[in-house]
Amino acid sequence: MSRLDAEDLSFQGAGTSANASLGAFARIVLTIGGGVALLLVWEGCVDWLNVPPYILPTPVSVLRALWSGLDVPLDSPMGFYLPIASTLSNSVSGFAIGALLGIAVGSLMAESRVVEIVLMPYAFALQVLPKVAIAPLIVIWFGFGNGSKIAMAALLAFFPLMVNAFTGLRTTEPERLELMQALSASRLETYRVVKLPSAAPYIFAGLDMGMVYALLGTIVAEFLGAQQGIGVTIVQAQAATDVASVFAALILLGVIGIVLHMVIRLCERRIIHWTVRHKT
Amino acid sequence: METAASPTTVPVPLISAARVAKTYRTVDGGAIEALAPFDLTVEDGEFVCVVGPTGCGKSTLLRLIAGLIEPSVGRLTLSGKRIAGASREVGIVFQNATLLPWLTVIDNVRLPLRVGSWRVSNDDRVRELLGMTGLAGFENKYPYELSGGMQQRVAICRALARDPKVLLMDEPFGALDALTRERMNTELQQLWSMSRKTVILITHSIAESVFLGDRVVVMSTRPGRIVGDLPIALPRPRRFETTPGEPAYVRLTREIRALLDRGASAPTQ
Repeated sequence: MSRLDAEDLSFQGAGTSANASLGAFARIVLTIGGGVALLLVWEGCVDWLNVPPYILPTPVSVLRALWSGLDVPLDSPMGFYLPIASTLSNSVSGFAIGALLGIAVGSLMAESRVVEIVLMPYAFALQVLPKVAIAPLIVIWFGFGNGSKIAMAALLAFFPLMVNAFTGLRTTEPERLELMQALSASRLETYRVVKLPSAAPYIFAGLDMGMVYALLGTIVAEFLGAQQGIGVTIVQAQAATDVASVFAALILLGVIGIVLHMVIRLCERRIIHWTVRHKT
Repeated sequence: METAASPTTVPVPLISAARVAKTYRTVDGGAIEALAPFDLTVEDGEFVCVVGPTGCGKSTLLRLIAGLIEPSVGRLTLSGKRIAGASREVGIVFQNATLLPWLTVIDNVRLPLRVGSWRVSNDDRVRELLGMTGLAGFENKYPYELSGGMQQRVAICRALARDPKVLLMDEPFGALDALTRERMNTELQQLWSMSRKTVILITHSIAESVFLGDRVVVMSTRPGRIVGDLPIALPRPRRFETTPGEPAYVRLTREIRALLDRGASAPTQ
């Protein structure tokens, strides 16, 4: 009887897991297959319609450009590694500065009505201003070095964090605040023990957005004139009508964006585990 | 025990309210009378249940005693001293467990010991409380891993962490299913008889109030006022198997229901 049960269970188990893996497998095949099909159509069209390579290169030549930039020593001036390192370090440092300042200012606004009344209108005025338009000013103030790129990244990362930290802190459940009041907790204790963790899901959503914006800010600053970075690589390739290299640089940017997003998601899942498991 | 050993002084009721009322100001300058003037005394070690419909101001009553809000008029004292702000002699359990989801069970119970200029970490007491409420072995679980009843047990432990004189409970079992609720009532009675805290429990369940209370204070709505104060002289420990069958239980339940019905149909003056 018990053996029958066990067999029955294992059979069911095998059946369901096979189904599930088949589903996942089919999805992967479809996704990759779709991509490959698109590339083939692209390759075919470029060949067939005789599109010149300075308008649209074939996928094969893009891959070749990508490989030629990667198949070099790490410190080669012709490779992609130095620009990647430059763009990555500048956007991450700018992101860190902007995020910290954003959380700090958002916290001050959430905690103090006076600060909120003073800053909120200006914060929103700056928010609607396309901040990319400030880039030329930033370059005047910070020069063509890393300073302007970090400043631009920080500026763009600042706003989503300020807004999200403010909103998150203000929407702390009133019951939790009442609990802290009943425990005669100080304002700082209430902030640290209850409000900040309550706002963490909002803050992480802001970090996710801010990271993407920081990368954008860095690239814009690089476009305006810099010695190094993926933005510079793109501008130089464009000047040489090496469109395949432009595409290769865009692919790299996409990969960097995805990796940064995944790092933040990973931190989010580790740090605010309670909301993640709450939803499932 | 210690309070009984001072017979020379005139016994002061643990909690005393004299002509206390609470009126809220509305935005447009009007006033809403949440609680009409009332008198109430609660003796040390008493288990008082406050029963009434939604909107009768029973939560306001609890928040007044907790020092979370101030009375508009009247004198409200705890151990003879006017209540001004939250007191460490008062532990409070809210309707929702209001646990902090990022803290483990034991850290939630420790919370009162690490905020509010309270720097006495007393892990023996915390573990004793968890043991008494059947939470031993769950110390490192997170609230979302617990059932509603278990979460409310953690909230009760947290309220008792500072070893307060008074335990205030605001419809603590209202969100639980009927069976869990009965079990929690039995456990609370046991916890109370062991610890001899003064308990004020807000509920809208007549059955719960009669089962648990030494006294049942009946409130009615608009404006909230006390319409009855009945001693419940049922023997303890009370049991869900037998107590609801006793004639006194049936009579008291009926009496409270009549008071509530009369309060509901009374015209507002």
